[in-house]
Amino acid sequence: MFFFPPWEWWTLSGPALGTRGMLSYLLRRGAGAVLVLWLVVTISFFLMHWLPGGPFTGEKRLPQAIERNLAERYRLGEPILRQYGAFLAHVIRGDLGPSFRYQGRSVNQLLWEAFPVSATVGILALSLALWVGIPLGIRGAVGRGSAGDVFIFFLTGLGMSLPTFVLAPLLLYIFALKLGWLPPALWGGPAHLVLPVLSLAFFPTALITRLVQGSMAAVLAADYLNLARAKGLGEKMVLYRHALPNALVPVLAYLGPLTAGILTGSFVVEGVFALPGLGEYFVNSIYNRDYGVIMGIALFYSALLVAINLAVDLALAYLDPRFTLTGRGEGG
Amino acid sequence: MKIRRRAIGFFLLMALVLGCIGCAANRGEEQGVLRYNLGPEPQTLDPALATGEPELTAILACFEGLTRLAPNGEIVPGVAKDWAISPDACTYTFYLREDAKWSNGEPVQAADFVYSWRRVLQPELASPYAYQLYVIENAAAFNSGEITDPELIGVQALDAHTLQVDLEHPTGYFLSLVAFPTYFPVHGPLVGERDGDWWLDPDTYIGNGPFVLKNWVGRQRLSFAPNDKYWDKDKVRLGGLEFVLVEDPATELALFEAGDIHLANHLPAGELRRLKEEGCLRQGGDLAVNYYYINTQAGPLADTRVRRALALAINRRDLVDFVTRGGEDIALALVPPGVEIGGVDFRREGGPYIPDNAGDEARALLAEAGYPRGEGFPLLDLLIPAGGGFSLQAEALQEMWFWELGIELAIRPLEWQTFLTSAAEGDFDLAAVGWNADYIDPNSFLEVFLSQGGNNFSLWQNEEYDGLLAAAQMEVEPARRRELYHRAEELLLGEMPLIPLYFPLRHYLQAEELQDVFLSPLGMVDFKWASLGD
Repeated sequence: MFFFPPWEWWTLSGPALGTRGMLSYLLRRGAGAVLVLWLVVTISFFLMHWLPGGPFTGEKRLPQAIERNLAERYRLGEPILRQYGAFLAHVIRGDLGPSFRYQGRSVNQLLWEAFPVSATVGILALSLALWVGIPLGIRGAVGRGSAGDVFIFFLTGLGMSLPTFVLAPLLLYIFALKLGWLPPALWGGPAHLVLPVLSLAFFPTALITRLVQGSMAAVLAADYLNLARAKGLGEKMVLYRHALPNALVPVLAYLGPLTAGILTGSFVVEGVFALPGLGEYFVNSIYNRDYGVIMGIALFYSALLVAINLAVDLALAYLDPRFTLTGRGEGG
Repeated sequence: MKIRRRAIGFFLLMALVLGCIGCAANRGEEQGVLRYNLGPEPQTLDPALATGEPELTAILACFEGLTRLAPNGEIVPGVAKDWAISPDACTYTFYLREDAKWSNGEPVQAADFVYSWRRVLQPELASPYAYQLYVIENAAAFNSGEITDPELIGVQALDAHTLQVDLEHPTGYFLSLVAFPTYFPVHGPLVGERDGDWWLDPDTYIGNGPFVLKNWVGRQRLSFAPNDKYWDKDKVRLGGLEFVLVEDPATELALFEAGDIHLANHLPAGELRRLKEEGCLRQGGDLAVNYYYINTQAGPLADTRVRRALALAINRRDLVDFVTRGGEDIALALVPPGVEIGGVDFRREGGPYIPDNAGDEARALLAEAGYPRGEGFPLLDLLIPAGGGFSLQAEALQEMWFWELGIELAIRPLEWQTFLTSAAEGDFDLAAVGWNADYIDPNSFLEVFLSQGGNNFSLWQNEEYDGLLAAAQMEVEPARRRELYHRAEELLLGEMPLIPLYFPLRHYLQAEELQDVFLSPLGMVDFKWASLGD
């Protein structure tokens, strides 16, 4: 279930955990992360330049003199390896360079302005998904076969199969146009957050419910819970204190990629509700051949993914003793 | 039970908090402020660098050239109150109004135009639309680096309020050209200080037009107030402008239907029919034509009779009635209606050059070329840009050509930039495009097919055609110039390196109270004369 790239395998072996073990583990993960990021950046860079066209290829072919002027100004005429070298040198200093499309603005600035928007919507959607998904999953597991279980099953099925590009316009149509309760789009007061958050939360809510329901059902059958009950603990205590932490392991494993994905925004949701988030850049920067933004977004997203995956691994080790940082595999 | 109660509580709380603040955020509209969706975030607001519709619209609000294009299609005085044209039509003398001011109160003078035009032509600035100025003497040479002395460019300030422009050749449309943003003046001292980002900051974004930029929140909105230093401020009736930045046409429509914007002119193609039936859709002319390039070097398409057969076999009436369904005019020539020379509509005078839906004639031509009923004719490769409305139209033509001529068509949709690259490399039999005018003159459409034209994907070359267009450039007398262009167009349609399909329209929705907003046929929107009623 847990995606573990081959180039990180060398981080697997090592001394047992301790403070020093932890430190060396983090160091090794850090080195692995740098390697991963370098690979992402390099592959993206060459793929992007391999695409036909360029940032200034427009509907109308420009006179050659002007194409030459543009290539000179934006250093597009230089050999590709030199461009790559210059880019790497800038990235190491934390400078992602200028945007080719949005003139006068740096990629750092564009990402810095857009990320809080995506992150706000993302955190709210994620919280909503956890808040609703976990209790719903527990209920589904406890009341197996009941009417509530069937209902949850139906609802999560719907949530997992209804694509956002259908859901988001549907919510917009119902709540903004027909009922007039909420603004249809744009970024402004908190009212503008409701529909995007609901659209974005729908799928993860359904998935988390299913995951919790499944793992909870497995955990509930375990002997150690009978022991807990035999000790005279209340059912609530048994459920939340003893069963839930173990049932949450698959949720947590899924949470890494989900969080990275949801924090960096959704192209569809941000497009439909016209939010100035990161999501749009994932698709449009490629259509526009905005080389700076393509590289920036690729690097930003992979860095976030790597960092969150590390955090999830640490949390898993804390939550599940079977899942050790050095000899992983059983827990994930 | 508890879970459900808590969830309900969460939603109630959220709804309550968000609802209250939402009302406040939405209803805080000022009186007389027009709200409009500009589309994507402007790439730049520098008149010298802008090329796209959103950029040009915002610049038109804040700047003014020597002339301005008025809603009735006429060229009216802008910064220039008057002008004189030399008998050979190669020298224009513009007399600037004394009361023309920058939004910081300083006067707009002839030297500002000299500075701005030289700046556009500087190779280091790399202005994509610098070629708009190539009709000026030595402009192209300076921009390409052949000469380096800006003094040689044919623009000079005779005094503070007199600007003299020398052209390479008579340019009948020069007065409409100077109404285009690339020709707008910029405030030299400010721009010189902060070239590269002066237009990002409302404090340094000094213009000379009807509005001034007040605030720009990246990828969200731009707001403008009326410019009280504008010489024609009495004509400006709006209390301000607020441009939102929404890229999805469906969302723009939702905003209009919710009453959040007053004008929507980027509409989803799928909704046009409904909006038309509801009676709220408005249409305006657009100086544009949709056509297919024919690769005149590709196999049987090298034969003019085959190209002509393909063009004649199309039922364009059915295409606009049942496929595009926007009430477009069918195109039986290249230049769309609405282009006037000397007060005469070029298209109306020239008329059609090919018949529509002439299946019999097409079949005869094809048989003559050696492909009776399409026998032995290879599969044709049609390149279209992915997305947009091109694929439905292509499918309609696929069927028409199959039934009329027995010719089969393979449709190849490509991502936009890949499409452009493949088309430029001649990797196609047919390629679908839409072409919009850069300036209001038949030349804007006809020059595409010049032998050396960078956009001439058809690879068709014809010296006589090149000669006719060159002669028209030199011609001063309107009727003779029209005549030369008509001959060129007739020659082009006789040789058929393209298949004209239809002339697209601009579709838009407009709030009842909005009046006198001008949707320029060149694509941008001019709000100078607009008002929001009472």
